[in-house]
Amino acid sequence: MAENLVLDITDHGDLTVVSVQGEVDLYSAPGLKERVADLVSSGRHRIAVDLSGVEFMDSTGLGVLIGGLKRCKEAGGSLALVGPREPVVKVLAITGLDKVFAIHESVEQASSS
Amino acid sequence: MTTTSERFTLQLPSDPAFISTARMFACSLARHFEMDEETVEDLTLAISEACTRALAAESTNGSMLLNVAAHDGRLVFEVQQGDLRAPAVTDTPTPSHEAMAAGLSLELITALFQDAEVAVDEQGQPVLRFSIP
Repeated sequence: MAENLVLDITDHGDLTVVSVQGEVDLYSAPGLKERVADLVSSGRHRIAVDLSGVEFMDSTGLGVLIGGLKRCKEAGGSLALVGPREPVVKVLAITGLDKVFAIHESVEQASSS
Repeated sequence: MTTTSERFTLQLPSDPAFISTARMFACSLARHFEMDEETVEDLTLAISEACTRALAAESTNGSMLLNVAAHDGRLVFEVQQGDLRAPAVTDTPTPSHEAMAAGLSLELITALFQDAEVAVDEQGQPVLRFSIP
Protein backbone atom coordinates (compact mmCIF):
# COMPACT_ATOMS: atom_id res chain seq x y z
CA MET A 1 0.00 0.00 0.00
CA ALA A 2 1.13 3.54 -0.66
CA GLU A 3 3.10 4.99 2.23
CA ASN A 4 1.08 8.22 2.25
CA LEU A 5 -2.15 6.38 3.09
CA VAL A 6 -3.00 4.51 6.29
CA LEU A 7 -6.18 2.43 6.53
CA ASP A 8 -7.72 1.00 9.67
CA ILE A 9 -10.82 -1.23 9.82
CA THR A 10 -13.08 -1.39 12.87
CA ASP A 11 -16.56 -2.77 13.48
CA HIS A 12 -19.32 -0.77 15.18
CA GLY A 13 -22.20 -3.23 15.39
CA ASP A 14 -23.17 -4.03 11.80
CA LEU A 15 -21.32 -0.96 10.55
CA THR A 16 -17.77 -1.41 9.24
CA VAL A 17 -15.68 1.74 9.53
CA VAL A 18 -12.76 2.31 7.20
CA SER A 19 -10.61 5.03 8.78
CA VAL A 20 -8.41 6.74 6.22
CA GLN A 21 -5.39 8.86 7.08
CA GLY A 22 -3.20 10.70 4.61
CA GLU A 23 -3.60 11.74 0.99
CA VAL A 24 -5.85 10.01 -1.55
CA ASP A 25 -4.65 10.41 -5.11
CA LEU A 26 -3.79 8.27 -8.15
CA TYR A 27 -0.92 6.67 -6.25
CA SER A 28 -2.73 5.77 -3.05
CA ALA A 29 -6.35 5.32 -4.18
CA PRO A 30 -5.91 1.70 -5.42
CA GLY A 31 -5.16 0.64 -1.82
CA LEU A 32 -8.43 2.11 -0.60
CA LYS A 33 -10.32 0.60 -3.53
CA GLU A 34 -8.93 -2.85 -2.84
CA ARG A 35 -9.76 -2.68 0.87
CA VAL A 36 -13.37 -1.58 0.28
CA ALA A 37 -13.83 -4.24 -2.42
CA ASP A 38 -12.48 -6.90 -0.03
CA LEU A 39 -14.93 -5.81 2.66
CA VAL A 40 -17.91 -6.01 0.32
CA SER A 41 -16.74 -9.40 -0.98
CA SER A 42 -16.53 -10.68 2.59
CA GLY A 43 -20.16 -9.74 3.22
CA ARG A 44 -19.74 -6.39 4.96
CA HIS A 45 -22.16 -4.22 3.01
CA ARG A 46 -22.76 -1.40 5.50
CA ILE A 47 -19.63 0.70 5.36
CA ALA A 48 -18.63 4.14 6.63
CA VAL A 49 -15.45 5.71 5.30
CA ASP A 50 -14.01 7.99 8.00
CA LEU A 51 -12.31 10.83 6.14
CA SER A 52 -11.46 12.93 9.19
CA GLY A 53 -7.81 12.00 8.79
CA VAL A 54 -7.66 12.78 5.08
CA GLU A 55 -5.63 15.90 4.33
CA PHE A 56 -6.13 15.75 0.58
CA MET A 57 -8.33 13.92 -1.92
CA ASP A 58 -8.66 14.39 -5.67
CA SER A 59 -11.07 12.97 -8.24
CA THR A 60 -9.28 9.60 -8.22
CA GLY A 61 -10.35 9.20 -4.60
CA LEU A 62 -13.87 10.26 -5.49
CA GLY A 63 -13.93 7.57 -8.17
CA VAL A 64 -12.97 4.94 -5.60
CA LEU A 65 -15.70 6.12 -3.22
CA ILE A 66 -18.30 6.07 -6.01
CA GLY A 67 -17.22 2.56 -6.94
CA GLY A 68 -17.49 1.47 -3.31
CA LEU A 69 -20.94 3.01 -3.00
CA LYS A 70 -22.07 1.18 -6.15
CA ARG A 71 -20.75 -2.16 -4.88
CA CYS A 72 -22.41 -1.71 -1.48
CA LYS A 73 -25.74 -0.73 -3.03
CA GLU A 74 -25.65 -3.72 -5.40
CA ALA A 75 -25.20 -5.90 -2.31
CA GLY A 76 -28.14 -4.23 -0.58
CA GLY A 77 -26.00 -2.09 1.70
CA SER A 78 -24.69 1.46 1.92
CA LEU A 79 -21.50 3.46 2.00
CA ALA A 80 -21.45 6.71 3.97
CA LEU A 81 -18.76 9.29 4.60
CA VAL A 82 -17.73 10.56 8.01
CA GLY A 83 -16.11 13.83 9.05
CA PRO A 84 -14.55 15.11 5.83
CA ARG A 85 -12.31 18.14 6.30
CA GLU A 86 -12.87 21.40 4.44
CA PRO A 87 -10.71 20.60 1.36
CA VAL A 88 -12.56 17.31 0.85
CA VAL A 89 -15.93 18.95 1.51
CA LYS A 90 -15.10 21.45 -1.23
CA VAL A 91 -14.28 18.70 -3.76
CA LEU A 92 -17.52 16.90 -2.90
CA ALA A 93 -19.50 20.12 -3.30
CA ILE A 94 -17.95 21.12 -6.65
CA THR A 95 -18.69 17.70 -8.13
CA GLY A 96 -22.18 17.51 -6.62
CA LEU A 97 -21.27 14.31 -4.81
CA ASP A 98 -22.24 15.85 -1.48
CA LYS A 99 -25.79 15.08 -2.65
CA VAL A 100 -24.93 11.49 -3.55
CA PHE A 101 -23.25 10.35 -0.34
CA ALA A 102 -24.70 10.36 3.15
CA ILE A 103 -22.22 12.49 5.10
CA HIS A 104 -22.07 12.26 8.90
CA GLU A 105 -20.18 14.27 11.47
CA SER A 106 -19.15 11.25 13.53
CA VAL A 107 -18.94 7.47 13.42
CA GLU A 108 -21.60 7.34 16.15
CA GLN A 109 -23.97 9.36 13.97
CA ALA A 110 -23.27 7.07 11.00
CA SER A 111 -23.81 4.02 13.17
CA SER A 112 -27.20 5.18 14.40
CA SER A 113 -28.49 6.34 11.00
CA MET B 1 7.29 50.80 -15.09
CA THR B 2 9.43 47.86 -13.94
CA THR B 3 8.30 44.30 -14.62
CA THR B 4 9.71 41.07 -13.23
CA SER B 5 9.48 37.66 -14.86
CA GLU B 6 10.73 34.25 -13.70
CA ARG B 7 10.25 30.70 -14.93
CA PHE B 8 10.31 27.47 -12.92
CA THR B 9 10.28 23.91 -14.26
CA LEU B 10 9.75 20.56 -12.56
CA GLN B 11 10.31 17.32 -14.49
CA LEU B 12 9.31 14.05 -12.83
CA PRO B 13 9.08 10.41 -13.89
CA SER B 14 5.67 9.34 -15.24
CA ASP B 15 4.84 7.63 -11.98
CA PRO B 16 1.81 8.31 -9.73
CA ALA B 17 4.16 8.23 -6.73
CA PHE B 18 5.51 11.63 -7.81
CA ILE B 19 2.18 13.46 -8.04
CA SER B 20 2.54 14.53 -4.41
CA THR B 21 5.95 16.02 -5.29
CA ALA B 22 4.31 18.10 -8.02
CA ARG B 23 1.70 19.29 -5.49
CA MET B 24 4.41 20.30 -3.01
CA PHE B 25 6.37 22.13 -5.70
CA ALA B 26 3.34 24.13 -6.81
CA CYS B 27 2.31 24.94 -3.23
CA SER B 28 5.80 26.09 -2.31
CA LEU B 29 5.87 28.44 -5.27
CA ALA B 30 2.42 29.82 -4.50
CA ARG B 31 3.42 30.48 -0.89
CA HIS B 32 6.69 32.04 -2.05
CA PHE B 33 4.64 34.47 -4.12
CA GLU B 34 2.39 35.11 -1.10
CA MET B 35 -0.82 33.58 -2.42
CA ASP B 36 -3.50 33.11 0.24
CA GLU B 37 -4.06 29.68 1.76
CA GLU B 38 -7.41 29.11 0.04
CA THR B 39 -5.72 29.67 -3.32
CA VAL B 40 -2.91 27.31 -2.31
CA GLU B 41 -5.48 24.62 -1.46
CA ASP B 42 -7.22 25.10 -4.82
CA LEU B 43 -3.87 24.97 -6.58
CA THR B 44 -2.97 21.72 -4.81
CA LEU B 45 -6.10 20.08 -6.17
CA ALA B 46 -5.73 21.51 -9.68
CA ILE B 47 -2.11 20.34 -9.99
CA SER B 48 -3.03 16.87 -8.77
CA GLU B 49 -5.85 16.67 -11.30
CA ALA B 50 -3.64 17.94 -14.13
CA CYS B 51 -0.91 15.39 -13.31
CA THR B 52 -3.50 12.62 -13.11
CA ARG B 53 -4.69 13.59 -16.59
CA ALA B 54 -1.11 13.62 -17.82
CA LEU B 55 -0.53 10.10 -16.52
CA ALA B 56 -3.73 8.92 -18.16
CA ALA B 57 -2.13 9.72 -21.51
CA GLU B 58 0.95 8.66 -23.38
CA SER B 59 3.65 11.17 -22.47
CA THR B 60 5.95 12.21 -25.28
CA ASN B 61 9.07 11.83 -23.14
CA GLY B 62 8.11 9.48 -20.30
CA SER B 63 7.93 12.27 -17.76
CA MET B 64 5.55 14.69 -16.11
CA LEU B 65 6.50 18.27 -16.88
CA LEU B 66 5.27 21.25 -14.89
CA ASN B 67 6.19 24.79 -15.98
CA VAL B 68 5.39 27.89 -13.98
CA ALA B 69 5.86 31.45 -15.20
CA ALA B 70 5.76 34.26 -12.66
CA HIS B 71 5.11 37.70 -14.04
CA ASP B 72 4.33 40.70 -11.86
CA GLY B 73 2.72 38.63 -9.13
CA ARG B 74 0.71 36.43 -11.53
CA LEU B 75 1.55 32.74 -11.80
CA VAL B 76 0.80 30.78 -14.95
CA PHE B 77 0.90 26.99 -14.55
CA GLU B 78 1.32 24.57 -17.44
CA VAL B 79 1.21 20.78 -17.05
CA GLN B 80 2.19 18.86 -20.16
CA GLN B 81 -0.65 16.52 -21.09
CA GLY B 82 0.80 14.18 -23.70
CA ASP B 83 -1.47 12.54 -26.24
CA LEU B 84 -4.77 12.03 -24.45
CA ARG B 85 -5.91 9.62 -27.16
CA ALA B 86 -3.05 7.19 -26.51
CA PRO B 87 -3.04 4.44 -23.84
CA ALA B 88 -1.66 5.11 -20.39
CA VAL B 89 1.98 4.32 -19.67
CA THR B 90 1.52 3.83 -15.93
CA ASP B 91 1.38 0.36 -14.44
CA THR B 92 -1.19 1.53 -11.92
CA PRO B 93 -4.53 -0.22 -12.47
CA THR B 94 -7.17 2.14 -13.82
CA PRO B 95 -10.53 0.83 -12.64
CA SER B 96 -13.61 1.99 -14.47
CA HIS B 97 -14.66 4.34 -11.67
CA GLU B 98 -11.24 5.95 -11.66
CA ALA B 99 -11.59 6.40 -15.40
CA MET B 100 -14.89 8.08 -14.71
CA ALA B 101 -13.16 10.28 -12.17
CA ALA B 102 -10.66 11.30 -14.82
CA GLY B 103 -13.58 13.00 -16.50
CA LEU B 104 -14.11 14.98 -13.31
CA SER B 105 -10.52 16.25 -13.40
CA LEU B 106 -11.06 18.98 -15.98
CA GLU B 107 -14.40 19.87 -14.44
CA LEU B 108 -12.71 20.42 -11.07
CA ILE B 109 -9.84 22.44 -12.52
CA THR B 110 -12.13 24.75 -14.49
CA ALA B 111 -14.37 25.19 -11.44
CA LEU B 112 -11.36 26.33 -9.42
CA PHE B 113 -9.60 28.34 -12.13
CA GLN B 114 -11.95 29.77 -14.74
CA ASP B 115 -9.23 30.50 -17.28
CA ALA B 116 -8.11 26.83 -17.33
CA GLU B 117 -7.71 25.50 -20.86
CA VAL B 118 -6.05 22.71 -22.80
CA ALA B 119 -3.67 24.57 -25.10
CA VAL B 120 -0.42 24.06 -26.99
CA ASP B 121 2.86 25.27 -25.53
CA GLU B 122 5.82 26.89 -27.30
CA GLN B 123 7.17 23.41 -28.20
CA GLY B 124 3.87 22.38 -29.74
CA GLN B 125 2.99 20.06 -26.85
CA PRO B 126 -0.53 19.90 -25.42
CA VAL B 127 -0.62 21.47 -21.96
CA LEU B 128 -3.24 22.19 -19.35
CA ARG B 129 -2.80 25.88 -18.51
CA PHE B 130 -4.31 28.08 -15.82
CA SER B 131 -3.25 31.08 -13.82
CA ILE B 132 -3.51 32.69 -10.39
CA PRO B 133 -4.68 35.11 -9.24
